[in-house]
Amino acid sequence: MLEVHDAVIRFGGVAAVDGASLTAPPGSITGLIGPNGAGKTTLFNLVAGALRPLAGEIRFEGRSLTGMPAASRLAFGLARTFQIPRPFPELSVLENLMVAGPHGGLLAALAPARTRARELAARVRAEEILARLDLAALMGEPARVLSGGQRKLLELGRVLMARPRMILLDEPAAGVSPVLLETIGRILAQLRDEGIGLLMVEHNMAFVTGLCDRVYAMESGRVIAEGSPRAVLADTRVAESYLGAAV
Amino acid sequence: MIGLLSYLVFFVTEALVNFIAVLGLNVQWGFAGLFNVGVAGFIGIGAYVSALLTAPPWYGPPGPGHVGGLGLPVLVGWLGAMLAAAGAAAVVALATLRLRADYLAIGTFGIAVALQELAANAQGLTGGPFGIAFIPHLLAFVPPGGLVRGLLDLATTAVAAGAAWFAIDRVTAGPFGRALRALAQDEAAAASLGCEPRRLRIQAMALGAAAMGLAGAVQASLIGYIAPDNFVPVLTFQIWAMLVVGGMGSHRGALVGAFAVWGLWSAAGALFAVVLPASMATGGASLRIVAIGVAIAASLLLRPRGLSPPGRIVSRFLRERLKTSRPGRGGLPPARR
Repeated sequence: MLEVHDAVIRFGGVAAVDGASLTAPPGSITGLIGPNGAGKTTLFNLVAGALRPLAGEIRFEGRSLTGMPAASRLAFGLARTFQIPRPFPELSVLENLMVAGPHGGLLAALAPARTRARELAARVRAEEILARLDLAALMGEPARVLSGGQRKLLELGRVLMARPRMILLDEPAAGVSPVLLETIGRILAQLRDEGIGLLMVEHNMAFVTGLCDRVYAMESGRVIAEGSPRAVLADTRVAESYLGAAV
Repeated sequence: MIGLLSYLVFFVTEALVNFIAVLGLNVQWGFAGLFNVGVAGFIGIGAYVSALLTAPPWYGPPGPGHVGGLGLPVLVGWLGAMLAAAGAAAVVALATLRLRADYLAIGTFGIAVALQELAANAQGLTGGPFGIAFIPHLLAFVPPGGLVRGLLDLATTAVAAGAAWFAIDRVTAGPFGRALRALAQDEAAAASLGCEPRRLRIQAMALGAAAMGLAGAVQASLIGYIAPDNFVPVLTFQIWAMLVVGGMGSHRGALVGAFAVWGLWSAAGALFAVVLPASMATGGASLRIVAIGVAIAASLLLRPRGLSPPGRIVSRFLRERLKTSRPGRGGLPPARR
């Protein structure tokens, strides 16, 4: 269970997130929608640890995440993907996944047997994940050859390496071809059914209504509506916020 | 004939010393993407520390406040050199952690110049501009001069270089090396996957500097004499040229580059000594640097990835089964049987 309580952050005089709260339970897909500039991505970055809240609290499975560096959150069970995928271009697809495996730093060289066992276990897991993501045929290729949608899958695969219990997805549908979009949707639904919690920022409303169990709508740094996707989209304030942004 | 053979032995020995330092730079730049322009400083630390540990107490001109050598075994000196250089690099990394790319370059360059000045002026410790002499060879029972001594030096240097290569390859061809490469390619993404940038950078700096320190210590033992002039920025430039020409990210490339650039450097020196009159000796020395610069430019144009670039699969744990699959357009088949 991921909980955000009254998070606040300001950039200059602008409160990008102004007392927003939300809850993302495990085994469920939670959507975060709103017009551009509503504060979704900023809130997302607060949860992921890229930014620190000025006030409010973010808790994951009962423990406070405030002040925990981004690099530590994955080991804690909380993973993130990026809006524009960030593969390591010169590493092979397989190696990209294995970056998320245990590396132990320089001192791991002092325990070669354990390092080897860990590496081989990580490799088996990486190959299983790649097979599941339809990327197995590309595992020896450098990640720079992947298409936009395949990069999204690669990012998802990387975070799955650490067996997260909650995954933060920053616009998983953006820039993805319709065919791959279906694949991504199917995989996300599978992950939910396995008990993983998902929190996604997304603009593609068909994708959101098709997948999300619960949706939060934001405007001006605040949550203005929450509930089932249909109920939130039917909310007049939500419709106005989008129309207002469009005008 | 013996003279030519002796020279050849000396040439290979020197190329191997350089190779050890290039290995260190390859960890820092080729893997971790750390732009260290203070290579000469870390080599110098290794040389001075090992000299002070191994030289006899009476090594230098006696003077007020003069600290003598400790006369310890040579291998202790080499080990101390590696530890001292690694420690210094860890401190530098800590101090410059927030600096990236060009700022790290300026920082490390400044530190190397400061160290050189320190060596030239801290007379009691370093012998000042006169340096430190009577640094013992490894296996010193064979006296200096002659082919046997040369071959013995070649053998000990080759063992040191081989050990450095083996150790560094063990560490970099595994999860640590992969984490460094990921960090160099995208820090935010690597951090989100649990690679701690600060810790990894400090470790990469220290590991690389340990190799540089070893190179300095081996060189000091070979020549038996060091002075601040041995650790000028041109040395940094040479080591960088070797890595670029050989192939960044490849330890084999470090070896190839060390021999190629050291060969060019030596050949250019010999050529200019013959072609130019003695009055232009200084100009000849500068022309050697020009020759290296031209070699870097030519290498980047003709073989941008180096003479011996890294293979596609760096991790030794991934090599095994992937090797058996057939290369082809469709990539590798699923490895699960």
